[in-house]
Amino acid sequence: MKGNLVQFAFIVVAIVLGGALEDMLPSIGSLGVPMLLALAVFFAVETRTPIWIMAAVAAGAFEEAICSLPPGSAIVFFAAIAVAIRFFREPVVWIAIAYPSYQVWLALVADGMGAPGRILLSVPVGAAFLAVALVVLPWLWRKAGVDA
Amino acid sequence: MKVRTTGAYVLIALGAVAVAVVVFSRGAALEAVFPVERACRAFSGKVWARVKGACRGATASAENVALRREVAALALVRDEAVRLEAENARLRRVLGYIERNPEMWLAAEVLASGGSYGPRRTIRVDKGLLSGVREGAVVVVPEGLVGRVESVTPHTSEIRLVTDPSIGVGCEVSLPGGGALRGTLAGGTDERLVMKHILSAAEVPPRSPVLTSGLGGIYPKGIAVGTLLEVRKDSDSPRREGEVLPAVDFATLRDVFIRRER
Repeated sequence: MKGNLVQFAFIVVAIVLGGALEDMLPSIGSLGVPMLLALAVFFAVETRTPIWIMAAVAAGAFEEAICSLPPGSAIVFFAAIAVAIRFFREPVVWIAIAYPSYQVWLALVADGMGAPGRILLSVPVGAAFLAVALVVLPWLWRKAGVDA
Repeated sequence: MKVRTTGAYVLIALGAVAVAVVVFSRGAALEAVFPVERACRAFSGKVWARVKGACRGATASAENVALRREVAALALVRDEAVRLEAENARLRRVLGYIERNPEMWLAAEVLASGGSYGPRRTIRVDKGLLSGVREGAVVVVPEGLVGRVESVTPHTSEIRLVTDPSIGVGCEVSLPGGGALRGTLAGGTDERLVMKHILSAAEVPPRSPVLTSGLGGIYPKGIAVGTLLEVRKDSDSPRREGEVLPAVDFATLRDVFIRRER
């Protein structure tokens, strides 16, 4: 129970802080820093209870609010990537393709939000950031005692 | 063991309710991140600025002297502005215009560029319903028109910029011989806007100022929008379209002014 509570609190705080940071950090070559996507990926890898899907949906909802995306667009993608990670456990593959495929998804569902140049740029930017996030977040996760 | 399982279910149920609230209300997510953003802004504006100031102590004295001179110069400009303001108010009264209300424009700080994906289309500011902001309110800076308030939460407002292609602003360019060239500003990019549906065939002097026309009743007449760079033939219709350099630098917006309804 205590472990679940700590995990829940960690997820709530991480999503709120991640959302604020994503909103405030300067973009990298017109690409936003994918904090919330990194959190959705991370929680899908780490959590044991069904809370991972809630975390993905909440992160998607924050993403939509902060980036003014059409309703449902980010929630669907974040949930889909979380499910993919959960059931096809190959984190490295998902880390590499998460951000570029998100840009492709935005190009399909959000009018004019995924120009080819941005999709190409998202390959190195997204992979680098998600790789860093998946080193830093697990460290915080352990420090907070959430994995205990 | 049973208590533990029940506790986990209660927690998951609570989480599901919280997620549902966030999913169905964009305002809830924005309100949740608002305190963090405000704290960061306050930190960078007050603490960090002072730390930087202390580190630059060596140059602070010289800067101080220069600033004092600048303040003195600005005081002269301000006195002139006050005189002109009084004269303006008198003329408005003579012409039967409503008296200017200093409460009409509400200053707001930019929290974030909401549209971090794709061209900059929205910004979020730190004033909302509780400060009297309403949806559809016009937003300006001293340089010119910024956009309109699209959605409001208790503490924040999202402003759709004029660079958004979905926004249409009635505009006009004064012609030397009298009259005006009218069109609709229809978004574009941070660097260029497009003035569409120009019916008149009149020639326009280069770099003429583009102002809001007041037609449509959404934007007040006379707000600067940009500078008309060139007018060309629209390939699809007999009308012409113009390229407009925005009056506002949208990338560096820090503070904006929101028009409050009386």
